[in-house]
Amino acid sequence: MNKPILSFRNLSIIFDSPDGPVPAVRDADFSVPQAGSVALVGESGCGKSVTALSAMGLVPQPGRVASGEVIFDGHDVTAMSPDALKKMRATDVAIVFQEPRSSLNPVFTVGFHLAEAIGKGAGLSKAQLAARSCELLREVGIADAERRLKAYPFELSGGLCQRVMISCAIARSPRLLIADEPTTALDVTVEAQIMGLLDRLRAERKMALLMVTHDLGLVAQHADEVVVMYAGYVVERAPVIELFDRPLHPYTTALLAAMPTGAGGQLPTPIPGNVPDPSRLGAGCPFCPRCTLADEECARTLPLLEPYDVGRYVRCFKAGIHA
Amino acid sequence: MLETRDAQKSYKLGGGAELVALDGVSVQLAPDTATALVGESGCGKSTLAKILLRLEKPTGGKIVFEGRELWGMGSAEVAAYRRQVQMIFQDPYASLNPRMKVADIVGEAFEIHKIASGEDKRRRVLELLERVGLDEGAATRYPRQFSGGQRQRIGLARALAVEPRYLIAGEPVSALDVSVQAQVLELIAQIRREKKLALLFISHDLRVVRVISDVTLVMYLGKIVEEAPTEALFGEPLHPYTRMLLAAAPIADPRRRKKVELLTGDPPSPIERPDGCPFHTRCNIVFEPCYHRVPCETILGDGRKVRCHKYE
Repeated sequence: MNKPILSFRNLSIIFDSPDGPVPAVRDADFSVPQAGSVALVGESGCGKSVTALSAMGLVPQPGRVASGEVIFDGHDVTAMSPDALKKMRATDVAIVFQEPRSSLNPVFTVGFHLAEAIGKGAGLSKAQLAARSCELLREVGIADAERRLKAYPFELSGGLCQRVMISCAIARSPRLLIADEPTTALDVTVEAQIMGLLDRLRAERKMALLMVTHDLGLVAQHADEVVVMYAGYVVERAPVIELFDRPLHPYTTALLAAMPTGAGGQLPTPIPGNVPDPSRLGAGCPFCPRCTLADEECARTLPLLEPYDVGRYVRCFKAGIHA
Repeated sequence: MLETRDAQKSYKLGGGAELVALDGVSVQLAPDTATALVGESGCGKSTLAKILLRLEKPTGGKIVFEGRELWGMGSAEVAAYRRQVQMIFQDPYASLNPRMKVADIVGEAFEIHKIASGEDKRRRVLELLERVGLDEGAATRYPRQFSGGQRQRIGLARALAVEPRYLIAGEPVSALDVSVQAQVLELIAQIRREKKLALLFISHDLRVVRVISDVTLVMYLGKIVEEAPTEALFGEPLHPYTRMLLAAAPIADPRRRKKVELLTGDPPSPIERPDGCPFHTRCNIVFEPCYHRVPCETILGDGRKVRCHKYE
C-alpha cells in the first residue's frame, strides 16, 4: 500500500447545541493512500460528510474538532493557520459536492468559475486563461468548450454542472479530491460518465479520492478501500473485495443486504429501527439496539476498533459471526 | 383499466419554440399489476404521471379510464376518478403540509370524499397509520417531527385513505437512505399485493425497478422505446437505450468491475429533437434509416414491444 496522503488520527468532532455537546464523529482513525480511492459509507447522520469536510478544515458551525488530528501530507489540518488552510485548499485538496447546481454561483458564467479556480497566481493572459479553461472542460468530456465557457449554471444540465465543478476542482491538479455524494442527484448514465472520469483522473494524475456515498454499487465499482461509519464511529475498515466477500460487522452485513441489487427479483432486506440520536447513545455498542447478534456485553461495553486478518479492522465483539 | 392512447403533450415556449414532453404515448395500467416507468431526467416520465392523474391536459390523444375519456367527465365523475387513482411523491419534505398535523393530513381525504367523519374518521386514520408502520402518537405530530422515510409512510397512508385501485408513485424512494429505501419498498410491495393495487412506479434506479415491477416501460424523449415483462427486459434488453441504461448501473460486486467509457453524452433537448429516431445521436448500432425515419413499434410476442429499426 502507498504512503498515506491523508490520515485521520483519533478524530472526534463535537457539535455544540443548547442541550449540550453532541458528538458527531468519535475517534475516527483511517487513511487515504496516495492515488488511492477510499469510500466512506453509512446511513444519513452517521458522520461521514463531517469527517470528509474536516480534511479541508471545513467543519461547519457549531461543530468543532474536539480531539485528534487530520494529517494531510505531514501537516495537521486542524492546527493550520487560515493562510496555510487557504493555500492547501487552493492547490492540494479539492472538493465536489452532491448538488452541482447549488455549488456554482448562479450569477457567474462557467468561464468565470474556471478562471477563479485556475487563479491569478497562474499569471495567465486572458487568451491563455480561456485556452486553459477549454482544455479543462474537454478533459471532463465537455465537447463544445468555447460555447460552454459563456454559459450560466442554469443553462446547463445537472450532469454538465457536475462536470464543470470537477473541472474547477482539478484545475490546479490537486493530490486529493474529496467527493461528497458526487452523483446522487444524477441519472445513471451521467453517473457512469462522472465516475469513469474520476477513475481516469485518478490513474492519470495520481490523484487520491475520498468518496462519501451511500451507494454500495459505486463503492464496489470504484473504491479500493471501504470505511463503514455508524453513529459517528468507524465500525469497519477493509479492502473492497474482502468487505463484500465477507463483511465482519453486523451493520456492514445489514447495509449490504439492504441494497437493491435487482438480482432475482428479491426485495432488499431493510435494517430494522433507525440510526440512534447521537446525543443519546448508551455505554455499549451504538448498533446494539438494531443488532441481531447483540448480547449483554454489547449493551454494556463499547467495543474497540481492532485488527482482524490482514488490513482489516472491526469494532464488534461478534466480528465475523453471521446470524 | 387506465390507459393512454397516443397521448401528446407539448408546451409552447417563447420565440415559437415548442417543448415536446410526450410524443404519442400509449400505455395500459392493468389492475393488480406493477408497472415501472424508467428513463433519464427530462424524458417525460413525470408528464405522463401528471396526465394520468388528470393534473395536466394532453394536447393530443386520449386518456381512458374504464371506457370513459378523462377529459369528457363531469365534476362528480372526476371526484370518483380521484378516489380510484392516488399518488405518492418523490420529496417527502415538500409533499406534506407543514402546518397540518398528521391526523389531518391523512384524514382530509375522508372529509373531502365524505367517507367518514368524527370518531369513525379518527379510528380509520389510526388504522392507516398502523398499516404503514407508524404508532398512534404520530397522529398528533407535525411532518417536521418525522424522518424522510416516516414522511413517505405518511404520504402513503394519505394515498390509501380513499382506498384507491391505482397508485402512481413518482420516485418514492430516491430521496431516501438505502436502509430506509428498503423499508419503504417492502411496504409498497406488501400493500400493493394486499390491496391488489395497480401500481405505476416511476424511477431512474433500475435496481429498484427490478424488484418491484411486473412490467417495465422504458421512455426516451417522450416516447416509450421498449416495453417488456420486467424479468425478460433485464434478462435480454432489446433496445440499445435499455442496454445503455443497464450497462450504466453499477454492479455491487467488486470482482466484476466494468470498464465503462460511456462517452454517449447527454440526451438531446426536448425543444430541439433530432430527426429520425430520437436516440440516434447516442446509439452505438445506428445505421442509415435511423437518421431519417422514426422507428415504429415492433411487437415481438410474450408481451414485448420495441421501437427500433433493428427489429422492424
